[in-house]
Amino acid sequence: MFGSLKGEVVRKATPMRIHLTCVRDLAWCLWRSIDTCEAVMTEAVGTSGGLLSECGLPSSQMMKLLSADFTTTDDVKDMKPSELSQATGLSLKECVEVLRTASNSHHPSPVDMLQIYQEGSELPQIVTFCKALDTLLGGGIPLQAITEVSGMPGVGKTQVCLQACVSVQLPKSVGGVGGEAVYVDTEGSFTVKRLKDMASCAVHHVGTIGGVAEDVSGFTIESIMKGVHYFRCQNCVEVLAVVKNIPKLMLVHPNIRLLVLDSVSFHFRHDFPDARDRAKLLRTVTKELIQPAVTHKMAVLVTNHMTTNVKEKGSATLVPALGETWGHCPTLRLNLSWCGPTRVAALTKAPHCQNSSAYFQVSIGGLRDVSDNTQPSTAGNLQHEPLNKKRKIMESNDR
Amino acid sequence: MMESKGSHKWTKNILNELDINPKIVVCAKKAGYVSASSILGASHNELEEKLGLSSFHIKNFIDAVTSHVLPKKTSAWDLSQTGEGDPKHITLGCQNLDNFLGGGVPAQGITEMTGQSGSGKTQIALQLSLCAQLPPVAGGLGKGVAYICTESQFPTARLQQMVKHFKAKHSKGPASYTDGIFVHHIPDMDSLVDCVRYQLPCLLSQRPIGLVVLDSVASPFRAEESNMENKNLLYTLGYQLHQLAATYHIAIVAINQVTSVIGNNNLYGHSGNVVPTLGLTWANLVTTRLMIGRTDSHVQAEQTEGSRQVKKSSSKTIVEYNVRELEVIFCPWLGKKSCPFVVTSKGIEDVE
Repeated sequence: MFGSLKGEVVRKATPMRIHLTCVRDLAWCLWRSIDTCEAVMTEAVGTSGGLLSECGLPSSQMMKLLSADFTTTDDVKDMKPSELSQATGLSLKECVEVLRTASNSHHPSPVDMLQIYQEGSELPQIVTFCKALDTLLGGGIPLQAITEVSGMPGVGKTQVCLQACVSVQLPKSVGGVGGEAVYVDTEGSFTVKRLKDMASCAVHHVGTIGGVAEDVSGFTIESIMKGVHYFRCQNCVEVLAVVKNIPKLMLVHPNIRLLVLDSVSFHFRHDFPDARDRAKLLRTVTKELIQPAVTHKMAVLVTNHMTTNVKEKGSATLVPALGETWGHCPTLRLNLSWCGPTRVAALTKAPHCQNSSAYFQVSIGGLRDVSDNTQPSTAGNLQHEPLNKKRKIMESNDR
Repeated sequence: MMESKGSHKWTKNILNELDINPKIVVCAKKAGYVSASSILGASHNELEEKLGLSSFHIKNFIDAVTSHVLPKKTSAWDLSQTGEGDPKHITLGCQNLDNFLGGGVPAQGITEMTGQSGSGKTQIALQLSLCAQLPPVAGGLGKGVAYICTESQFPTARLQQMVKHFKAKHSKGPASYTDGIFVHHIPDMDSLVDCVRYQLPCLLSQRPIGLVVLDSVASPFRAEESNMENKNLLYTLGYQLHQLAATYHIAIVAINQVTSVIGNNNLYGHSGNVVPTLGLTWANLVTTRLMIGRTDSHVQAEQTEGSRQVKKSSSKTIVEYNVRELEVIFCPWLGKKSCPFVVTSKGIEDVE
């Protein structure tokens, strides 16, 4: 670190102390010239990696680390716990703790609420081409959040997923996200034909709106189909592998903005040899799904089956499957059902507005509003209004 | 065999198949993390602690296991170009019905045919068993059929009657249709699941089979009480069928029964007074649900006397056929609609 001065300086002053000292004091302490000490100080300030002393480790551990010449996180970065233990005299468990803290020490500085609000409201959302549904969701399927779509078989969960795969690719100049999608298929209900139909309707629709020419001309059926990356997973370990592989996939395709998991419950409801294994894997999947949402600003859309919940009195209700282990994970929970011949989407968990519902239909081109424009009465006011730029897509929605 | 290939793929020792530092392999073996499910199911910190390796090595380890297990990546465009993503069908031998269904009975995942007794479900299943043996150019699969009977005896006489007419109509089929149908009689629940788990994979790996018919999936389970254990068994059955369909590229047709419902039951978007049995457990496993029923209308047609040539113009008998209806309850790529058909001595026919 300090070249020829290292041995002497380390013995007499850690970088932390050097920061706090002024050049003259340092020169006096080290019996070197002011110029040399200035150089030392610049180097100390520019040390890469954080200081171990700022990691919040207990002082007894810090003392042992310092006396063994470990001062910054870079020094311990590539060490094994056994090596560190030998060098410092700390126990193996303490060494693991130190290594973990050291690697996590790149904490981002706290961000104030205003900044988060501004950034959040600037994030585009994934429209569903159904005005009622978009209003219900507060503009569309949100990025940086996990949205669960549950419902009876045949009600349209896969259709919502396919629509989202097309909508996420809408060009930015018409208010879309302009990103690509990853479709994780567990049940085999992904149909290329449906995607193609939805894509062609979307392309036609964008053609009528206008927007920046270069942006819009790249939005074709072929580009939409190429922008949906497909994985067919035969068991839950493959699902886990795909989700864990997202960061690597992002290096090749950095523009992925949507992760669809259709469905999360298919493989997990199968009879596991050990029920504890199943719960553990489910918890891991739950945790892993949050990663792409937060770190890469993706929208995560997950479909779920319904199951009967028999209460003590004998009455039974329909609830989304997988219980509470999964239940706390999604930010938004949308439940699809039938009301007569019409499909209804009801929001059962949402941080931004009260629970309410919307009618929608599934047509050849995807999700659309119900033609007679009647909507179920909402329980209260929707507090979130879609941003003005999203209205551009909705205005020309004459289907 | 398939069981060990399928479910043990992620519980067996994969350490020797990975291309990583042997030091990591040794540590992982010692700590007991040998299967893909245990390695990927554990958190990064847990692995660091248990294996005693640095973060860098653990990251490499997890990356190696992930790439080993990862399914093939493709895109919707590639699927559309190769034709893999298109839903497959088995023709029903009837033009109207085929057009209505977009090519024939869907052969992707599990296709369920449900309806009241006597509506024609077994008839359609028999017709499919013959059509599946037609070559792909004629709309079939060109392979044999595994027919699992759980209710009554397999209708051999009826099949013979249909084969006669079928051979006359379709010239491109195999020499013997009955040779290509493998019939199993399995009356109870546990044997059925065992058959699907062990015997079917055996048969599938030995013979070219393209279609598995389950007639019916309802009767073994309806006889038992509906508790959690039986529900799990039903789910296992459906799940295994899906795995077989995906691994061996076969079509699965399951026949279900209906039960009457009191009041307005609209769970599946089908308002009627009957609902398919086996509840939500089975419904969640079904890819396509078709409902077959009798209607109130009839259609008259002339019935010719067998296949004998009647030289003189003898009086032909007029027969009245009850018009049946095939309705799509749900299917990932078909809208909800219905189409009429009739059941004659020749099998399933369109209504002209």
